[in-house]
Amino acid sequence: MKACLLASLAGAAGLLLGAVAAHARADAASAAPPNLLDLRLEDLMQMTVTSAGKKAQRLDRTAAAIHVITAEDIRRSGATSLPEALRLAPGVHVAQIDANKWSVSVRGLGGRWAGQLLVLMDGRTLYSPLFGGVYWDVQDTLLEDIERIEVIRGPGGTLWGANAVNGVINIITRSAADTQGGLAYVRGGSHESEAAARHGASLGDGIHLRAYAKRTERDPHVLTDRMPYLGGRPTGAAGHDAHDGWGMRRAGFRLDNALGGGDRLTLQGDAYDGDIRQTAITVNPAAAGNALVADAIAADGANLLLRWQRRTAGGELQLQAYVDHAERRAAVLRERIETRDIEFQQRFSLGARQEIVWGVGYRGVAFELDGGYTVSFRHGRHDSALYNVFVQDEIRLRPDVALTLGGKFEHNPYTGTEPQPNARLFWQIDEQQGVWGAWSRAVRMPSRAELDFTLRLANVAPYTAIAFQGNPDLAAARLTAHELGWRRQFGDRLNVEATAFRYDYDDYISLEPLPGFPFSTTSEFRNLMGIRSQGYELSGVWQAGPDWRLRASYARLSIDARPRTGSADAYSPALIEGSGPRHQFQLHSNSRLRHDLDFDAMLYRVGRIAAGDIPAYTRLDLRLAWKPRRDVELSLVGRNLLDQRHFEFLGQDSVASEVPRSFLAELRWHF
Amino acid sequence: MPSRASCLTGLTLAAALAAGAPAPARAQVGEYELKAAFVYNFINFTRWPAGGDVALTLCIHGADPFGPTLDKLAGRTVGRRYLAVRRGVGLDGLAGCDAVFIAAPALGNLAGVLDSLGSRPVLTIADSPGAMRRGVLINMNRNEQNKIGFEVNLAAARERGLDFNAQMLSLATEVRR
Repeated sequence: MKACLLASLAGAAGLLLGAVAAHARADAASAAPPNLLDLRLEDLMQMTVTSAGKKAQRLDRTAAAIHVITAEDIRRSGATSLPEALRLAPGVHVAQIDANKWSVSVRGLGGRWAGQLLVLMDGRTLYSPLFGGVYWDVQDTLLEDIERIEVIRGPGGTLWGANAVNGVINIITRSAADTQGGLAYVRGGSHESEAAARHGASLGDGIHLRAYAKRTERDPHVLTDRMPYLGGRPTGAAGHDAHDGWGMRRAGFRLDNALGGGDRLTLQGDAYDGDIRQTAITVNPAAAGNALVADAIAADGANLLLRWQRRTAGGELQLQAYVDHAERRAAVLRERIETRDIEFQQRFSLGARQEIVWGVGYRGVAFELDGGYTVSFRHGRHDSALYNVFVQDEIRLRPDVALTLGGKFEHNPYTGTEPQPNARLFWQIDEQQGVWGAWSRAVRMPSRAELDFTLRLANVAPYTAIAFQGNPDLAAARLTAHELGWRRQFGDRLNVEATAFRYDYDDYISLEPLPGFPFSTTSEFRNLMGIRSQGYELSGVWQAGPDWRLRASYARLSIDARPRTGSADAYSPALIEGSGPRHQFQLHSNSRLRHDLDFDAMLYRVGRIAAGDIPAYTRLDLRLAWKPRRDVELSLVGRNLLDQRHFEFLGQDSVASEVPRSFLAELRWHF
Repeated sequence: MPSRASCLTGLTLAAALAAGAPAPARAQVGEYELKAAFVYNFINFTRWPAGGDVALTLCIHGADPFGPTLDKLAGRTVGRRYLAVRRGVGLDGLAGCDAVFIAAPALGNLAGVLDSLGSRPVLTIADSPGAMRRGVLINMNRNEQNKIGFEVNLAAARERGLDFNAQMLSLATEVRR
């Protein structure tokens, strides 16, 4: 893990903040109610409408802060990568570090290596078990094949059948039956180019297959004059090529087979290969200080997933298994990680008023980590096994009140068995209005890196480094979360939602100096930090006309970190407290100017980030799309139109760069 | 680890078998969540004349009973077209629609709606008793068991140049030919 190569205090703390995480599991989507849109007409005709339901069900009854990014939202945003698409969700902080690195966080604790989000695609976890965060440069698919992205702010608990601390990001692709026919596009612009093709075909009764391939090249950003690391000589002058261009090649398929009797079988897989350039921070054992090196990471990976679903009289069974291989060779670390995951879950109704979901899962991860002086592992080869079992009961206490109780037990070899209960209550006040409250506990398990690695930031003298050291005795950090939410529909056209939260983390990771002579140069991870974060989020959607939709949101966050008695950690608190913006605001407009002309505008305001003193910025993206023929779309996208370039987030183990203004043109053809 | 994995596989399979016992109650869903899924199916089973826009536009005429459920439809593919959703479309806007859901309160002026549509290839859908006989192409009904069924006016559809998949017709409670 490169992960662990931080070369600066700032970086270090980022890792601290980050990390771990949830060796989570489970397909978040499948624990939610079945997606009716995927059912056949015959099956829909067998479903019963809720008895309360003469009235229209116009309110989302989920007792959690959930936002759904639809396929149309993604297309109309002009986003060309997963993290950029996540900017669309209220209360999510997406910050680009350099051309190929992002920090994505929900309700604070952001950072390149931050690991308190559960990120899933079609039931497969995307975050790296090495550090708990996501290598966003290798996680991708054909964005056009994504059906929706569910973004849940707050502990996932068992509501989504998954373990997540600060939030859940659940990416769901369309079934192969929904992506029939051909699609090809080419796009090019000031900083990137991409070409892709997908074809979907029917292989007989109920069997559909699609396959895609795409190739992306992205140009380097501009080097920043910010030096968020100790010492080191920059490899270029500010304002010049940041040496962070990258290229990826990717292909994948999905096969859906609707077997008889309500059974469905899905087989899907992807493979990728890429070259990712960065300026890495390294420490030479025989020299003082540290040095920046122009690094070219070679990354490749593949995954294969098999899922079997059976619809039963009142619910569903699902058995899913996948294998995932990821390899990454960088200057300071070569890593190879194999994951095997299998899980079963069942949903059924108990009586007329209860719906139960339960499941069991196993995950085995095999690590091969080959570091050097900058980052090293005591146990470069290591296997770990995680088991979990969860159950959740949704009880309709009254026609207008639903109580959800859930619990999950996860067993891992490092910290033992960790229980994670949650309770949620939803009250539908009237047809237009609902309120909910939730209490949950979530557990952030130490990552492989936090348990085992040594990261050297800089040498104070030859063979004497300022270093961070993993601790095999680390315990899990515990989060207790309280949330409140309110939703209301005003007339036919305006929907408003407000949520508030308070998170209390116990035993969060701190950095404690170890005794040394003549002074301490090594700090060890301990569980001596307490954090309280709180805030609120407001969002609204207004259908201003048949062809014009406006969406606005505001998110407020404040974090307070208090080292516990016995801690000598002097600098983590400021980094934790300054890990995200206190204010975020978005305003999006989607309009159709003419039957063949779409115009979209997205305005973002992100407040100052205290850690690293990153100034607030305002970003405007515009998109214009023209359909000269029914099967052809031509679009133009301008991003960051308000400034030449701006800085979004600190580099940690590598040098950050500034996000430039960019333009993109795309030609898309359906055949 | 492989042995552990296979052990667990066995366990989960056993659990799966055990769980296969009949579940006691029926799945219940919100009326308009379910009706939205029907509408999506109707659109999938309808053949429009060649030459339409790449966006297949579903309009809601009258107060929208679906709410956020409808947003899940937007952006889905139907054959080689994308589904777009427009709410609150008045009589003058109906000409730009490929499919129109006519909400119950707006059905009072069905004649006006049909007038605005002329003979265009527009799929009309409603959920009010008797709407099919009055010229709406597909009408949904809720029966005594709280299940949703639908009736189809095939004769009127053909006058508009639309056709329906035979499988859908076979599931309809009534087809007017």
